[in-house]
Amino acid sequence: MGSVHADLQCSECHTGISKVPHERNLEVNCTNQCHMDEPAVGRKYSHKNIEETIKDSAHSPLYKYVRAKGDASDFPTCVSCHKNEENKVVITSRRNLEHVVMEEARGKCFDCHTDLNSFVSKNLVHVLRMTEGTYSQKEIMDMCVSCHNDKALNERHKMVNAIYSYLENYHGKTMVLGLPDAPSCIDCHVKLGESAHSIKSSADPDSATNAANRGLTCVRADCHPNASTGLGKSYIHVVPTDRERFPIQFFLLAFFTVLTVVSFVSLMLVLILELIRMIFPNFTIFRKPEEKDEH
Amino acid sequence: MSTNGKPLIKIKNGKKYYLKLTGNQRAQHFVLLVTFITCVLTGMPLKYYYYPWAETLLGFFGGVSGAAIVHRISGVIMVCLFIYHIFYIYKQLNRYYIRPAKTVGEFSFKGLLKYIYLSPVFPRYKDLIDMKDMMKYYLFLSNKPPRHERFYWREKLDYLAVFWGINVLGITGAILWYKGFFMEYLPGWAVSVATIAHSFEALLATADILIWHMYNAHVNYDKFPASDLFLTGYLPENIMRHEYVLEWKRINRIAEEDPSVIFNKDEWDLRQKEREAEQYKDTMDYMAAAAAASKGETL
Repeated sequence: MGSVHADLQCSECHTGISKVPHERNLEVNCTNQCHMDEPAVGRKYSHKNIEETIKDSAHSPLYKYVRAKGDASDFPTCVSCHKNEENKVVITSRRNLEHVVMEEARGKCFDCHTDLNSFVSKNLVHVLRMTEGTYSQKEIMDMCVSCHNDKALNERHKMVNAIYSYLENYHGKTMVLGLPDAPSCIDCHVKLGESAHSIKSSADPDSATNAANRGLTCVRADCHPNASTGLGKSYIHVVPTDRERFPIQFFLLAFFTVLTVVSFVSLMLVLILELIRMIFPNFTIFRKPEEKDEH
Repeated sequence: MSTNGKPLIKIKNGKKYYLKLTGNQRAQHFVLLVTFITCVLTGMPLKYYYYPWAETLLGFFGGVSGAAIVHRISGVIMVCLFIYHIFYIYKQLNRYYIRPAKTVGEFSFKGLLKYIYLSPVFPRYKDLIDMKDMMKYYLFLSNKPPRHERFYWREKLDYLAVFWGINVLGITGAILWYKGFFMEYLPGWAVSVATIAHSFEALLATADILIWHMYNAHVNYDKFPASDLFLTGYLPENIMRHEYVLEWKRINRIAEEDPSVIFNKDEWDLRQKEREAEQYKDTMDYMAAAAAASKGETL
């Protein structure tokens, strides 16, 4: 078991378990006060705070900017994104530590924390792994795609398919083409200093993608540090075939499509007619009498 | 026409070749060719990112970030070529109309416009007539193919397409490159509009060059499989007669009046051989004399 939860009793998360053998498909309660004392404050640990954050985000039916509540069961729970077996945050082992902390620093930790197994596996790696990216950019994108590419779900909640327009944008293209630091969904949709749990609607004045904040989101140090905040005016999720929402793009696309098709078809026609004519160079329906050359 | 010392007609192995492109023009074409292909190879994978070849192709340029640098360098060179070409056009106008006309004292703005209108690459009324005649000929309604001068509508179309294309691609490319600067002044749709225009203009240009231009210049019925015009600048007489009959006649008239515009390589080779034979004879004579002299000394 490679999970950070490996040391826990099953019943600490699967709170429904009361007897052994237990029933199948027992739900997990992540907000349960559980398993261990937080060493710094001596308090029982819980993920309850995250639930509070989610409630004020686009991923909760309680959020006031949610466009259409639709089916409340569509909204994600913790395990929609945090699959225990895939979750990289929770991998613990001594070996894993070597990737995270340099040799000298580790020595310093071990001076005090002599009970390495419990301290390292339960706290240090968990915390240190969170200081660097825990998922690759592509894994983050795939996580969002797993729900937001669902046509029926998008219709139920009156959402446009943001995946298609993201992939057609330079951001998405470089992601598909394997640029390791290509921007994923949360790079724009999460406000600096907040976590992905607090993604908000662009209608929310407190959102990273609100018209007032978008410029600041673009010009972050890791993204477009030298750009003017006017860059935030740019449309990212453009669907040029959508005439109602993007009329300028629609008509430009139509212009180029007509230009390309008309020029290409007419040039091809000339080419084919010429080649046919050259097969029968001496055949003519209306033959003009040979004129005397002027030279 | 300026030939920069190049003969209008070259004769090689008994065949006549006609000057079509000067060295400067070929150099401009070569820069355009290289930068165009580079931009296509580094840009198309981004347009067609969903095909498996896209990532492979970008790999040759060091991935997305490497290709982005190569694409921009190549694009900047292409735009510089365009600026040079505008200067080149001005230089030619100055050399063949503005300066001589001023020297004679006949310069007028109307005259300049007339000169531009009648210059070889400028579209004119005759092109429409030629297109009409061509369609009649192709549809077997006439046995008279149109008679062309130095450049006809196919080449003019290519030339004007590049004029339009470099402007569209250059301006939209600059917006996409410096979006952080331009977006301070431009409306929100600017970047997406620039993306669409850049991408579709590039597709149009690539398709037309790959099929239309390659067909006209290389694989068409009397040039197959390839023409070396873009390297040598000379076109063989059979193609001149077929495609550019008016120019062919005009150059022949010039050559009749002034045979110095013809360079006969066959004759030159023959004379070169004679010169070499003469030189060899001189050398032999000298050696014989030298040998005789040294004999005379020793004796």
